[in-house]
This record gives sequence, structure tokens and C-alpha cells, in this order.
Amino acid sequence: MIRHMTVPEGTVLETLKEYWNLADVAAVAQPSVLATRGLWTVSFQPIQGGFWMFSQEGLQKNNMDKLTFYALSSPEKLDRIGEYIAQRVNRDIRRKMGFVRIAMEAMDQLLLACHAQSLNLFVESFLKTIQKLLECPDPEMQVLGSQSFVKFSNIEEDTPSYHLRYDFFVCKFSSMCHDNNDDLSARTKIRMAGLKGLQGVVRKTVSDELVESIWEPDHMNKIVPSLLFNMSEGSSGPLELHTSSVQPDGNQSVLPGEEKEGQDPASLADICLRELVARAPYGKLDTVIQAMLLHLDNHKQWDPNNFAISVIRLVLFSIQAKYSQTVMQILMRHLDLHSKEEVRLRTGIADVIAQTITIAAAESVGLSPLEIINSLLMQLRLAVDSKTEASSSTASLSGAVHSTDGPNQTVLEERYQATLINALGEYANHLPDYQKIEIMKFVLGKVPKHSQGRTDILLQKIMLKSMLKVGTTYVTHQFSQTFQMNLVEPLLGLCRARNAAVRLLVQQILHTLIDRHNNLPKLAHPSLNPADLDLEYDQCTSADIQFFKRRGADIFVALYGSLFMDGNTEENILGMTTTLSLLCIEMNHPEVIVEMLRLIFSVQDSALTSEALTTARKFNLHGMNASLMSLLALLAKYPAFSEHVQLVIAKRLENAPHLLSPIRERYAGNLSPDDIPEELLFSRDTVEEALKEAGLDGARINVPYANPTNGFGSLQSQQPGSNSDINSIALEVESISSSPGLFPFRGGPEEQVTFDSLKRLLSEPPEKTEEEEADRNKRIAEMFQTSTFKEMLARQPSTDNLQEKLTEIFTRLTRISGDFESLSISSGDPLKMQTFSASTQDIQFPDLFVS
Amino acid sequence: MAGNAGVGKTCLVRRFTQGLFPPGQGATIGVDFMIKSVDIDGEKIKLQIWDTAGQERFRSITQSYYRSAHALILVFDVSSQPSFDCLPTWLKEIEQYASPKVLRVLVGNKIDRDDIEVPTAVGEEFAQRNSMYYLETSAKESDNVERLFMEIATELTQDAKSNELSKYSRGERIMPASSEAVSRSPSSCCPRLS
Repeated sequence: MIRHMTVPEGTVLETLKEYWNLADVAAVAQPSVLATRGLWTVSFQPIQGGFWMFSQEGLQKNNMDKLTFYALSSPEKLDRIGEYIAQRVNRDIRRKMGFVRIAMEAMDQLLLACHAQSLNLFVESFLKTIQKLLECPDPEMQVLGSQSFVKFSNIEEDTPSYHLRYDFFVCKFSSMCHDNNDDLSARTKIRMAGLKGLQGVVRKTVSDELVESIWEPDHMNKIVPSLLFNMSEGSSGPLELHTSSVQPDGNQSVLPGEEKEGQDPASLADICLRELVARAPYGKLDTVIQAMLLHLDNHKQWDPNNFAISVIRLVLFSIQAKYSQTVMQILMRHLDLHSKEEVRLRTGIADVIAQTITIAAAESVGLSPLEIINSLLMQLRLAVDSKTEASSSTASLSGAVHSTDGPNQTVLEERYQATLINALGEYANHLPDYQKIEIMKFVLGKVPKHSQGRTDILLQKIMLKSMLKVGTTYVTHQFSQTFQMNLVEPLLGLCRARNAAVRLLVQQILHTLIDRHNNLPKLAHPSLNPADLDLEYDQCTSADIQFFKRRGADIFVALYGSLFMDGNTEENILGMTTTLSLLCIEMNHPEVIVEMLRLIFSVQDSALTSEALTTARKFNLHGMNASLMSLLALLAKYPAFSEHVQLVIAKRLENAPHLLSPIRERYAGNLSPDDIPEELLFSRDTVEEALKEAGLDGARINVPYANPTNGFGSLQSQQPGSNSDINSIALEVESISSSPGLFPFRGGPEEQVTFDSLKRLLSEPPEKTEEEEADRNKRIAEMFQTSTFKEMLARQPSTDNLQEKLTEIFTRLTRISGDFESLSISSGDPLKMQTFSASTQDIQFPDLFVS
Repeated sequence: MAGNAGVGKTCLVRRFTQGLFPPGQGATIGVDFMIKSVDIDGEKIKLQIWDTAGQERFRSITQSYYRSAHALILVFDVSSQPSFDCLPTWLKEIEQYASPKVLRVLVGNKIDRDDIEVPTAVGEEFAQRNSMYYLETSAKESDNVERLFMEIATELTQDAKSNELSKYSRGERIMPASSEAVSRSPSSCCPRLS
């Protein structure tokens, strides 16, 4: 029906004038009717020059409808309508607030009513008018402008706008967010208007790629601090409230939100920030977070850091989960940047990381966890370095300032380190198990191998503490998976680190990794009645046995070595007892038991004969043995063995309780470790007998471990991983001989390949060859077991073809390099080089292996 | 406008835009905005003045206002040596964040006071060394305040005109840095204002 209305003809200007006139006429003609409609009346008074003055009584709906209809039917006129209204506002803004309000409402309605395609130029006028309002000192006008802008921002334009610039709006709205009007309600109003305006700008620009990017640091550095400022201004109470009611989708509809919780600037800013972060594309997240961190820096929000934590949480909950790693990395970088700053600040940042890292951990994939771990470790390293620097400068003259706060400083630094380690643990805790292993390997790779300076030891301790933290969260299923080559070898190497505290940490790591049935708390103290401990254990799986066959020897040798290190305390021995007990329980298998017995007897021998050990340590070792034996008796269930163990323990209880647990630091002075009567010791023969009864090869327990007291420990400690003992080499030779097919081709000197020999090979019965082979292999094995390296070299005939050739080549090479006589290797006499001082490549390899 | 807290940035702006000298002016929070239209050679120029907070904690947001400014007014208090000593820091900040072509003006405020610690020569020398204009003002007595902004407006107009000649008009808003920013609206929209 509207279609049949006549549309005013003529220029836009005239039309508009007519519109106002119509309104005038209508108002004059039917004031009462209009009043009851009550929405809007405008009255006009002609003033000089033919312009109209407006005084406000309300927008007249009827006339507004006419105007809208006109605009809709002639969209090409819309831009000029806008221009006209903008001009009128410009003119009236100082004096006639009423009209400005009417005009804005008219513009708002036109905006909403008209189609996007035709809005383009109208929008220009509209925004110009809003800018005008915002520039006005009157707060009411500013609020009005921002309200109109919000309405505008809610319109989804489908046509891109090329010409819009929001720079001013961002500047002005941000400024409004910081308003400091004396009147509190006015201040709140303006701040709210500013926040809503910013929200509008973001909403308007975020999806439109043609408009200048809102994500530029220029804008973000205004928007983000404005939001954060308002959030922190609100009492921390409501902030906490909102943080806890985080919605995981982060994309709440804002209009209802405004009604409910956006009533004060703080909560509104909270909503805005969520929306902003949720909309941030991956590449721009950095800018947003940087702006936040800068604000937190400037406002000293790291210590205390409650606000920072809630902000970062808010971010992590609002963004897509896959981006959370990035946030953590940015935080780590921030920590890097501040690594020279005051320790309280660093602790604050680290704590924020620790408290929020769990949110991020759930989504960690690929390399990013390692990167995060790496940065955390870097920080730890820096922390250790700075600590040692600080303490050394305290000692120096310039340390006068430091020395006053020195102790305090150390405590703070330690707290910082603890926070970092905590962060690491929290993070690892939320990673899947396979990544934990990776992380442990990674951490272990960062542990300094050599412990020279104080720094290294400190670093070793801290890294191992971190690793312990990770290890505690890890659940071992199969040893072969947990103890991978590059994890177990460095760990075993560290078993013999010089520092006793480091060794203890290694033991603790081993505990948590070995313990699969949660027996650790029960075994924290050695017991003579393991049956009372209610231990849980399963039969050992075949995979674990395989693992033991490959790694067992290394592990036992390392642990054995660790027992005899200098500076062991009773805690080390305790830790070791627990480690060995756990091993027994988790690898409940005859072979392991035999190996364990072998270790126990070696320890017993050393405790009796060693001169390097203190009396207390010797008693400790006996005590450890007693506990282990009773545990083995429980596990093995060989009657004769159990009987023997019970007998010895009973004797000790009666006559020498100091040879039993509990393990102590000091013992009564009159006790001698040397002349312990036979009956108080575990007897090899009895045990061997008992094992034979049970159908096991008990002879193995007679093979002692290399004596650790003559320098074995310290020598080996620097070369982790290369420590298979002689006995295990023997095992390998045997295993090679079990595949005899290979051997004929490794012929010895007597085995010339001639026609005769081949003929003999064919004619002779194969058994004879086999016998010869077996015999020869036996000899080789024996030789390697019994003779020393020197002896083996001595057996080497000096006229060896290969050796000569090699020497010749080396000689020539040396000549070429111009370095002649100085190298003894070129002299041609291989015997000359048979000293241990010569480097490894100088030593001639025994013929048995070379050929 | 930029400068240490309490050197009188807000008072300068207030004096210029509203003709007031509010005695108990509190510290500015974040950024304040004022606008004033002036007549330069018969042309109406709109100055947008962004009055930034001097407090350190707002540094991140105030810095972000430098970039789009056409002129920066760096203010110090002639009766406070520390506020003068901080100028190099401010300059560094301006160099880092503002556009290199920005017009920089050094202002020594509070010349009405008796306890002047920074003599004119020192200020002038510093300004010269850093190729800035130098002006001493008193917001309280309204000395030189008008002149300060008028000269900036004139300078900027001339700049804009010469730019217009070389290329087509890039007339845009100008914001002064730190505590006050001066911006000039495009002359194209001015005729319609009248």
C-alpha cells in the first residue's frame, strides 16, 4: 500500500526540506494524534536564510517512514540525504542537542532500513557525523556517537568498503576507555561507550580484508591496553568471577551479554577481550599477546600476578585450542626478554606460565612441546648462571650492594628455579606418555656430562630435578620402551657422577621409572620382612627379559659402581637399596635373581676387603644386602635359599644388628667392619647349592664384578655407556659361536685356502671340523676372559701382512703431511706402540679380530 | 603532547582549547582528546590534540598515538631539572614510534615560576641539537600558549600545501605526540563547516 503513496519529487534537498515541512504541517495539524503516537515530533521554525531550526520533542514516526520510503525507492539519493543531515548536525551541534539526537536517530534508521549496496556513500556521511559527535567535548554527545557507531557495526555489509578509515575511531574510543571524569557515573558511561565503540570497530573490520587491518600493532597497542586497563580497574572480585565462568567456545553472543554481565566497564572489557582474542587470526595472535604483555609490564602486573594469570587464562580459553602452544611460546619469549630483570618479576612470569601451561598442554603436538621445554631449560640454565655470577660478585669488592640482599636474593632465585621446574612438571604432566619419554631424553641431553665447576653441578642437579618431575608423571609399561638406549645410557653414566646429591637424584629418577606397581612408598625404607609390606608384583614379561638380556649387565655394573663412589651418604645407599629392590620386584625372573645375587656377593666382598670405604658405609652395604636378600627370598621361593637368608639375618639380629637395616649415618665407634664372623655373612656356597637345587646355574654368582675401589668408579664415570664388564663380553662370544656357519670363513693362521685344504674339508667328516671350531672358539673365549689386553697384544706375531701394509700406508701419509719422525707409528715396529699411553688408534688390533 | 608526568601538558591543552587553567588538575589517565579549530590565512584548520599521560604505566598506549601524529609537542618543566633530564629518553621513544617526518616542538612550561632550574639557553641548545623548535610557555599566565599551537598549525598547513603541490592531497588528521597531539583535518572538509 505504501507503493501507492506519492513520492516527493525534485532535488534531494528540496525533498528533505519538504520532509521537515511535512512534519511541521503534520505537527500543526494534528498535534494530539502525534502526541499519542508519542514517538517523535519535530517542529520547525523558519529562520533567516531559509534554514530551519529544530527543536526536539521526539522523532515523528510518520515522517520518518516517509523519508525511509523515499530513500528506499530512490537509493541513488541516499548519499545526498546523508550529506544533508551531516551538514545539519555540523551546524547544530553546538546549540541544538535535541536536533542532533533526532538526526542521529534518523540516520540510524535509514542505515538499518536500506540495503547494503546503496549504503556506501551514506556511510561516509554517517561516519563523519559520528566523528563530529565524538570530537565534541560534551560527554553525552560522545556517548551518542558511540551508540550510533555500535548500531552501524552490527550491520553486516556485504559490499566491501574501500574508503573507510577507522584510525580516528580507535584513537578516540581508546581515549574514552581511559576517561577520568570526576563524576563517577559519567565516567562509567563514557568508558562503557568507549569499550562498546572499540568492540564495534573490531567487529566491523575484522572480517573485511579490504579495510585497514585492525590487527596492526598500531591499533592493537591502543585497543588491548584500553581493555586491560578497564579490566584491572574493576575490583579483582568480579574479574575472578568472570574468569571462572569462562565459556569454552569463547564466542558468546554479545548483545545478551551486554544485558547480563556487561554492566560495568570491567566485565564489558572482559567480554570485549574474549571476543577480540577469539577473532584473532593465527598470524596476528602475536600482536595481540605482545600488546597485553607490554601492558602487564608497564602496569607491574607480574608481581603479584593474579591479574596476569586471569588474563592469560582468558586468552587460552578464548582462542582455538591449537593456537595455545603459540601463546605459551610468546610467554616464554617474554621471559627470555626479561632474563636480566629482577628475580621477582621473572618468578611472576614463570608462575603465570606454570599456572596456565596445563591448559595449553592438552593440545601439544609435533615439535612445539620440545620447543617449550627447551625454552624452560634455557631459562633454568640462565638462572643458574646468573646465580653463580651473583654469588661470585658478592665475594668481590663491588658486591657490597649484593651482600646486603645476598641471602635473600638466593632464596628468591631458588624460588624462581622451583617455579620453572614446576612449570615443566605441570606441562609434562599433561603430555601423552610417549612424549614424556622424548622430553626426558631431551632434558637428559641438556644435563652437563662433566661436573667440573659449581655451575655444572648446580645445573646437573636442577636438570635432574626437572627430569624427576617429568618422570614422576610418567607411567612405565614396558622397560624396553621406557629405558631406551639414549635415555638409559646417560642416566647410568650419571649414576657415577662425582657429586653425591646428583647421584641421589639419579636414583630417584630410576625409582620412579622402574616402579610400575606403586611399591615405591613401601620400599622407601629397607625392611627385613618384605612379606609385611604387601608388595604388588607380576611375573616378568618376555619383553622385559629381552630387555634385561640386552641392558641388564650395563645397569648392574653402573649401579654397582655407584655404590662405591666417594662421598656417598647413607641416603645414597638407601636410594640404591630401593632401586635394587624395585628392580627385583619388577623383573621377577630367575636370571635377574641370579644376577642380583652376584651383585650382592660382590658387594659383600668389597665391604669386607675395601680400604676406601668408611666403616659406616661398609655397615650400610651389609644392611642393604640383608634387605635385598630377604626380598629375594620372598620372591624366589627357593626353600634352601630362604632358609639360609633367615638364618643369617637371625644371627645378625642376635649378634650384630648394625649389619642390618635401618641404614644409619653413624654407628657405635667400637664396631669393626673387618673381622665379621663367617656365620654372619651370606655364604656363596650355600646359595649356589640352593640355586642348583632350583635348577639354575648358580656358578655365575661366583664371578665378581670388577673391583670398584681401585679407581674403577672414577675412571668410568666420565665414559658413560662403555661399561660392559668382562663377563658380559664372554656371553657375547659364546653367542657368536652358536652360529657356526660363519666361522669357517674367518679362518685362523693354520687354515690356508689351498686345494688340499678344500679337499680335506670335503673328505673329513664334518664333526671333526666342528670340533676343531668349537675348540678354537673356546680358546678364544678363554683367552679374552683370562688374559689381559697386553698379553693379547703380545701374542700378536709382529710380521703380520695386514699390519705391515697399514704401517706402510701410514708412513706414506705422514710423509706427505710433512710430519715425519715425531710419530712413533711410522717407525714400523708395532711392539713399540703397545703401551696404554698410546692413543687407541695406535694400538694394533689383535689378529684374531682383524682377520 | 609528551613529557614527564606533572609538567603541565594537560594544562597547556586546556588553556588553549578552553581558555582555562584548572588548578587542581589530576593526572591524565591514558590519553585525552581535545579539538580546536583555528584560522590560518583565512583557512579553517581543525586541530586534534591528543593529550597523553606522562605516567610510565601508560607508556604502551601513549606510544601508539605517536605514529599518526603530524606534530609532537614535547613538554618539560623549566623548574624541574629531572623533567629536562628525561628528554633524551622521550626523544628516543619518539624516534622509535613516530613518523620520521613528524614536526617536533620542545616546550619549556611553567616559566611563571620563580625557581627556574633550566635556563632558556639550555633548552634552546638542546632543541637545536635535536633539530626541534623551542618555545617557553606558561599555561597559568597563558604566555605563548596560543602562539605555540598557532605556529604548529601554520607550519603544518604549509607542509600540507607543499605536499599537495607535489602530489595529490594527502591531507589527514594530525596528532601530536605525547601529551598533546595536534591534528589538522583535511582542508577539503573545512568549507562545509561554515
